Amino acid sequence: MAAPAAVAQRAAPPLRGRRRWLNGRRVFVVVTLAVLLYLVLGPLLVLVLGSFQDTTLGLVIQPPVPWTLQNYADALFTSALYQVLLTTLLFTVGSLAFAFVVSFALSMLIERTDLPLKNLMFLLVVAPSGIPTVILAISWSLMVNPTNGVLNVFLRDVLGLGSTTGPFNVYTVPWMTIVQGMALVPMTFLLITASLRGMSNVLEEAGRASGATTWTVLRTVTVPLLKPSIVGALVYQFVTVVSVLDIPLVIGRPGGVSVLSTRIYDASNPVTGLPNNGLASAYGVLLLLVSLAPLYVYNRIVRQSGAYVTVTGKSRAPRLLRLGRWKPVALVLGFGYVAVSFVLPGVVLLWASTQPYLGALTWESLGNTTFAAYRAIFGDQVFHRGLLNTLLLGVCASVIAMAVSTAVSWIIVRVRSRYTPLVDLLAFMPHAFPGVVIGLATLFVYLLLPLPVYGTIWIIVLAMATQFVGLGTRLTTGGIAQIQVGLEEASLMAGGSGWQTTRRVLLPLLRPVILNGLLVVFLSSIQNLTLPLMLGTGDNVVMSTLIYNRWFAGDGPGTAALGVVLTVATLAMTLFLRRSSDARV
Amino acid sequence: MTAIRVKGLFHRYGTGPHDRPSVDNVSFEVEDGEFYTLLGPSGCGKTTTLRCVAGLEDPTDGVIELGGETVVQGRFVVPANKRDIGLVFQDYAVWPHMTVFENVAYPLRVGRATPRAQIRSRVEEALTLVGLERFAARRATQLSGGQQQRLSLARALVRQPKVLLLDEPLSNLDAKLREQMRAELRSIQRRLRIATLFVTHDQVEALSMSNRIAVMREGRIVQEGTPREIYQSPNSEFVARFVGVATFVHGTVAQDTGAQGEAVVDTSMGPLRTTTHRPLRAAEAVTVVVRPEDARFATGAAQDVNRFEGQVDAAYFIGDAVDYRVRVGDEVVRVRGDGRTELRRGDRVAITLPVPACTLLRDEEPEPVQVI
Repeated sequence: MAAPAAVAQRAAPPLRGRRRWLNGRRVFVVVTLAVLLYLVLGPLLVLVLGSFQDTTLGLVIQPPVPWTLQNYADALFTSALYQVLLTTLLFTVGSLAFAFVVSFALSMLIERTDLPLKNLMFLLVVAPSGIPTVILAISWSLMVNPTNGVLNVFLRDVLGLGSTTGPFNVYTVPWMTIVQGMALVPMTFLLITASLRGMSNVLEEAGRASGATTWTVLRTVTVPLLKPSIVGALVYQFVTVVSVLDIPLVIGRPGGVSVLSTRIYDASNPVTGLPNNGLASAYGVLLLLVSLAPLYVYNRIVRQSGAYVTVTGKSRAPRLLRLGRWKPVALVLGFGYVAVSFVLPGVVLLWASTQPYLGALTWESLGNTTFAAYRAIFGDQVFHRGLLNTLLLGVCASVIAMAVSTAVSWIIVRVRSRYTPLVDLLAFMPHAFPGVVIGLATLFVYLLLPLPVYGTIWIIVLAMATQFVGLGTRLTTGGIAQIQVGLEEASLMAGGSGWQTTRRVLLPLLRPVILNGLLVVFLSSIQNLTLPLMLGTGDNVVMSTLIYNRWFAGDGPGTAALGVVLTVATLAMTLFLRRSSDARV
Repeated sequence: MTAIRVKGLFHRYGTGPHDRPSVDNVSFEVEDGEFYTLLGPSGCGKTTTLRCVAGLEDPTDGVIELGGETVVQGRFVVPANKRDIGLVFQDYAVWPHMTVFENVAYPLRVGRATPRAQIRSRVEEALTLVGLERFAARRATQLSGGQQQRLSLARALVRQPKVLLLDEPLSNLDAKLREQMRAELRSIQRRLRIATLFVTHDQVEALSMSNRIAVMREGRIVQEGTPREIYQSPNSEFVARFVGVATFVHGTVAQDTGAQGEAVVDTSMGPLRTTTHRPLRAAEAVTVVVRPEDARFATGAAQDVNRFEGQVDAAYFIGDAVDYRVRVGDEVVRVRGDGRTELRRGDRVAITLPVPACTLLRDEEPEPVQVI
């Protein structure tokens, strides 16, 4: 080793370095975290603040703040609340039970039995994810509303009932529950199927090798192993149901049925009078608490699920359960469900859109076929604005959500710090926030901030992007974790800057994941009714609110025509998405 | 001219008070054209040291200079992409979305832009250097493991950096390929006369390729020297054990000895003569190291120096040699016998341990208990 003294005395060489704390990487991390905090924590903070204020004169952040507990008193100490909570509970539990039983049965049939026509059934079960829930709700109203519901009229004729209403009434809690259940099936089915496919069949073969029958293996090995993913899906869908506005407003409202989410909507968007945002946020905080409880359960399950080794390596096709003489029964039940949940609503919607007015579905009515409704909407200025806004919404929300997700995930995966799990949690939070709560909180933020976004499409874009950052980071974190860090380091070693590394190495490698995410968020955004309804003012109309407004304006054929247009577009994209993501796996 | 100068390098992963530094006051210098190796078991801090030199890791403290330019000093760090170096990764890290040509051209396209015509000729030159000129149009993922590692080398060299860093580049290759790549890598390095910092846990790689070796343990350099010095005169039981196999005989010095010459150590085998390079006091506890290839079966007269009677404990035939364990007193001495010897377990033999081959160590603190 050289003499240390000599080294110390050598003239200090020129320093071309930078200060450690001011490098590009650090600036990037700080900016990304600031954006994440702004999108996620900002609205939450304002929501909680607002719930403890008298907001008759608007939200106050400078003293003197009119602190009050009146909002909670108003929300909690009304007998109506308990009715609402009970309805919410029935609606939520019922639709989840429906969706999970149906989805589980269908995915077992398709993945683990020798049912014929599997591919067709898979396609038909998944396809309704392309139908926006608001349209599904409208379609069911068209079929089973008590006065001129197509199905009701048909049954009255066939059964010779003398009454002018019934026999079914869609505007009741049981029907709401069933329709919501059907709306949940495609996503639930996909989640369960994915984990069934990912499960190594070595575990099932070990069961068989121990002498168990196929049926016993299903019961004692397959189903218990699926528990973590089923509970995960359950929590995910729970949050969806408690925050949904589509079905409670379209089906519940005409029958005088109220749930927690419609309470929030009503308080902040009253039919008459001024919005009571304080009361709305008190409800919002309650709803948030309701949806955080299952999240706790979910986290515990996921932590335990480390003990379940389900996804491992290549596995051969699993042994299929022989249906034998149950095959026709399974076929009829499977395709019967598909017919009722997808084909029937679609046909009725199509029929309604080509009628001059809503009447009975008869052979004579086919003679009245007209495209007047389509001509009317295509000629409508509001439709053009709605279409443009919807495109803007889909494109901007998906780009913002995926950009933030990618940046945040990079930090989660690549930055070693004690605080990384906190960032992960923060990014996951919007996933658990009910849509109504995000909508309400975002509304508050831009009523408060002097930014000209209130009443424009951009407030919906921001809320939508916030909502989907949670989902987006799930996708991108997995994607980045699969790219070995050496590939990025090699670029730095080659002299590439951080930006060049991102553009020429990271993003090209991540492209399939990002494209997939963009499509998913785009599709979900243009189908979403909750946020545009919460943040809508009349100027920032999008397709879903347009459909909703038309329906309540009493224009049946026009609503149906709009529904057909939107459904065809989203259905096409959904099938494209499935194909492209299947091709990748 | 010094190509790499590392002084007083510290690196800590955790910030807690109980986190040991992963690099603990490491200093070394690599001259132009020199092949310098950091050798040690996994977790000894050798890779972290290399990553600090590369700029992929920020040290907690210390100075790093590359070609006379300071890249790390206290709070100042030159970012990795502004350092004049090439790095070959253990797992190749070739970009799967680019062709072989694009992979090698990348360093010329980012950073300071190189004219298009020059890029082509320089990439071809680099690919020829590693023997991949025929594969330029292939996708990087269509290459075999060995080819991917050559590609990684071409990419590291195409910018003609002052310093080449090699992070266990051979450990993912199979044995045959590794031997071939070892020779090739060294000959390319010699041809380019590029200062090279090589990190490995493989003693054969380190001994056969290096000009100098630094053996690391728990974040510190415990011995630095030429391959011969490291192998033949290890300064601790750890180095002797890590670099090759050896027999360790514990004992005490029989009498005071001068700085040079021979010493006698009392062991359970009997008195053992060794060489020493430092003065010894009587009764000092010491350890004597003997490499198995230096130990011989005695053929000559009974009055040979360091001749011991023993019994064969085990014999393992390994093709070109037989690995014998000979029990002498309480000690088991490893002896590398000719492949044609056919001694059996239980045979009585005599062995000699030549005095120049018996290296003396000062007793060190016991090694940390290994939990298996």
